[in-house]
Amino acid sequence: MDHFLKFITKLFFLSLVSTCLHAELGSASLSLGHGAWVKSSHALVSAKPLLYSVKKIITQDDIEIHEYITASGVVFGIAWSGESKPDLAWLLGNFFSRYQLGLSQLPSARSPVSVNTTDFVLQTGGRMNQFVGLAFLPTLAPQGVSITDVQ
Amino acid sequence: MLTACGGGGGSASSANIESSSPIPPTTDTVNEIKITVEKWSASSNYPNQAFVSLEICQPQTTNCQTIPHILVDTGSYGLRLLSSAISIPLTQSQVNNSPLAECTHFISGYTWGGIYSTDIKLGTQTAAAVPIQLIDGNYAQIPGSCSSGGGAAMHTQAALGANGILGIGSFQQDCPGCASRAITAHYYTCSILPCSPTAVALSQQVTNPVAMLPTNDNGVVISLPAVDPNGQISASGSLTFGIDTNTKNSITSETVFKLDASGYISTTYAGRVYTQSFIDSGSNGLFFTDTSMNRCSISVGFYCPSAELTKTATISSGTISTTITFKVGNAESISNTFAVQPNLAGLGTSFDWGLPFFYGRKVFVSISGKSAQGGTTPFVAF
Repeated sequence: MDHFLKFITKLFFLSLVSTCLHAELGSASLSLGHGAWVKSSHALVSAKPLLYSVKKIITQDDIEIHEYITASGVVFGIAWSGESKPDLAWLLGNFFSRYQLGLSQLPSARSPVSVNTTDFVLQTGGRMNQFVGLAFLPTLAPQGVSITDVQ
Repeated sequence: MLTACGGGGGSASSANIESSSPIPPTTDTVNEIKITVEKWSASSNYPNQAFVSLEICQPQTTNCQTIPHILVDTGSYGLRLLSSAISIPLTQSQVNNSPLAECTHFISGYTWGGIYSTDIKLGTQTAAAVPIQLIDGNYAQIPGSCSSGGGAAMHTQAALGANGILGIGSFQQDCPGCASRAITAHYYTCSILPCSPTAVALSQQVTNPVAMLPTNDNGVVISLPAVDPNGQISASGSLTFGIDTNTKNSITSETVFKLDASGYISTTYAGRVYTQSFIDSGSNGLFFTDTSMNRCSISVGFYCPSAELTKTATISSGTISTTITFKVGNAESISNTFAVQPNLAGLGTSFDWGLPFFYGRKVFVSISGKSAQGGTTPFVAF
């Protein structure tokens, strides 16, 4: 009985941990994995419904996130806008280190962060109390979809 | 015979004065300070940084200190100074008997530090007991919610690019939403560690110092000279306090663009409309998206076209619009000795008209809630 309880407890904590590390970009939708962070979510009209769906998420800090999702449920693009900056470690998941690299290459203080690689594109913009940005995975995006579709 | 205000009848002025604009007073009591665009070795020699010097005083005393190399920033609100640059004693603000601190976010970084009250001399006038942030990475303990995903810490001259930032943009306080609730990664109280998020009344928030002047409190005018199109070592101009209060800060031929509720104008560039566009003296280039433009490989984030490009974009607000012509040069071929780089441009998702926009222009930035041009809606005029 003891061993069984320990096993179940381990499984439970493992699943909690994997939920926390559950990446959004390049993986399934944020709204499925990060319940505590999401205040509301609903579908938006897609400009190219045969290629992707769009989901709008409002976080607890009132940041608005638009997820661009392939037919198989993979998030290939994210756009965000809000008074606060989103926690990019959560939002970018496995691609967060690529953002950090971009940050280390900033040519001057307080410039937007921009990363332009074949499999990961990131751009930020805005100013105090109005922060925007977008991330895009060109290799995961459906054919016929470009970064300009992500808004 | 008295000349009626408004109209233009009987006046010798050649300006076409609209009935809603006040006629400036005849006594010219201009309050302005010098702006210098220069490179500063302590701040990593970034280009297009507009600096001013400010005198701060322990409230209600003559115990003062002049701080040089403070960045003029119309994209933020409030004065933030490196704590390491301050030698006069200031008192920290409290909320519920607990010392108040703030995590301030900028586009690619953040500043952490306590909130203090100081008198600020802006030219010939004093803003009294202004809440400011003293930037200090060692204060209490930086909350995880502040640094996580917040970008680069800007707690040194090299990282910040200045001794401080003078936020004189279009709003009075830096977190209106914080007045009613404790928003993560904004204000904190630090009587026990870790510091905990807190709501803060507007009167205690870091405030645009211009808004706290006794007069000339409705905005600013930034005037920088025309510069060599290929760049130059430095330039100097003026920061004038107040709008439409004297002959130096009156809107005459300039066009007024009202800002929307979030402080934006619209910019149309290459067929696309950017509804979250803004004019920002604290940005050191023009930042926008152009996938056809060659990007730099060393100065990552800036554009490096092989030959200088001439571009146009249209700024608009409601039915008012104007087309701006600008040049984009190769960021990596501009001389490193030039602080003034008018053709510096880079990537950004919103169209950001940074300091190059200000060269050769007189730019008016009014403060929301203060009366200017017949209303309290904030605007920019140029």
